[in-house]
Amino acid sequence: MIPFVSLWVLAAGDRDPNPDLDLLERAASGDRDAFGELFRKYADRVYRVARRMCSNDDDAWDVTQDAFLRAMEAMDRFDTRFRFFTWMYRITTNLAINLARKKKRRSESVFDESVGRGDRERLRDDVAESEEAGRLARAVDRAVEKLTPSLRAVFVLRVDRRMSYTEIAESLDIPLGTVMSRLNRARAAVRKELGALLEEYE
Amino acid sequence: MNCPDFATLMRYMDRELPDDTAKTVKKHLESCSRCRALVRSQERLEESWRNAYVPPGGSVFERMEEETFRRIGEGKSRRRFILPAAAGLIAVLLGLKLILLSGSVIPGRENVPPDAGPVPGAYRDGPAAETIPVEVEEKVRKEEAARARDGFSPVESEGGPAEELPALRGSGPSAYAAGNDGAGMLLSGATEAGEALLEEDKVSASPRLLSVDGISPVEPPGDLETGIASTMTIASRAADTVKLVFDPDGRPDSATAELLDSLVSGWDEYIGWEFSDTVFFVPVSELEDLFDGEPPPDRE
Repeated sequence: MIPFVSLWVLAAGDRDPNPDLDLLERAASGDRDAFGELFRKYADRVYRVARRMCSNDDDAWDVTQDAFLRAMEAMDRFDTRFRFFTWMYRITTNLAINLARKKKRRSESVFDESVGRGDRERLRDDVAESEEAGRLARAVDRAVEKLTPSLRAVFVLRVDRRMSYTEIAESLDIPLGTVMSRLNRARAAVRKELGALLEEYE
Repeated sequence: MNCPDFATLMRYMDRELPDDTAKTVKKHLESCSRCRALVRSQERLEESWRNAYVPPGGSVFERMEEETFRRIGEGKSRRRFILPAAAGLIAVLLGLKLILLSGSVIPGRENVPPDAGPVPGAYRDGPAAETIPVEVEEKVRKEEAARARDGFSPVESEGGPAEELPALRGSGPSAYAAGNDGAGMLLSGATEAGEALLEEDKVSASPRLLSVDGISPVEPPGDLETGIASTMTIASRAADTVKLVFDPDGRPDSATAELLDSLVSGWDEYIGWEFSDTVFFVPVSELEDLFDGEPPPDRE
């Protein structure tokens, strides 16, 4: 009986009522102002995920904008039991992954050393706590860029957005086991890429 | 006590371990400086990366909002038609099938379903359900049943037998009944599979490709591409997807994983391609690259 009850609790979900319920419902009925509010509330987070996924500011801008356009078009089909950003992250990572694939097909590899050309310098020394931390952050950034897009998506949502495994699984619509294995692969790849630099921090 | 593996330490760091395991790991860390150093270096690495993000300055988001709404106003969304993802998928699959059967070259993928993917909760009672021909749904179900018969279950779920899960994750009415519904989603997490994967944390240099569509490669493949290419000549090519099974004792190394990711990424939303780290469903069209842009040989 106990397992059944706990499953039931899980299934019924003590989900917090959606804090954006009113906005989402209004946006779903075609209220532009409500959607504008959603945009202002979430654009920075969505852009942040896009920026972490893409190799330059322009792509991140395009992906963010496209993500909101698609959300707007599909708003009436959004299930308000889900958090808005969870869904936005899915759209955003999918768009970024597809963009990466298109680029790869056109053989302007997104993992190319030449990407960035200044864009990469968003990790500036003056924001880093110290020269040393900045150096580490830049090295990690380069390593993350070398991850395949689907590994990167999981890494970004966990490490940057600090989402739980379950939230990531929900957001990307992949099994929990896949979240764990991808995250593990991503982390191992990043550590391998950092190599000797890492030893200084142990 | 032996040191926990990397995956377990990371799950401890993420506070994603069950309480009792977390306690054991905590205790171990108190006495093992090597593991402590590993966790600490990972924490620093991730923290420094997280904190180094510089948000765009100025009125970037105001400009973006303006531009976005202008594009909405002008109807300039790049998506020309709002096609329910399920209907889009079916169309693509049917199209692919026709193309494959007629033997013509697979065209570009302008008609790929919208990247937005399915909306959580969509189709439960929406119009999309009515647009999907019954026989297509039936076909999907049959394919799924056939896969289950192969002794392969898509997602081990605590919520019920694998057959009840949708063949195409998140892509049809049934997806929301079982897989993508808020409740179903919570229950369908492949926890056990995940645990098993973490236990088996080794990576083999050359993963053995056991079968392509249930047929073993004639020769032990020198590399993945040769293996797939040689086997594809005898495997059924009228299918939409090819099922690749790797030796579970040797998970794909990073190069293989990358190749597979490059073949399938972007499609996971539409085709349930990855149910574990050793079984992959790859759309046939994606295998063009392995045949120098030509469709697989011997296609009728």
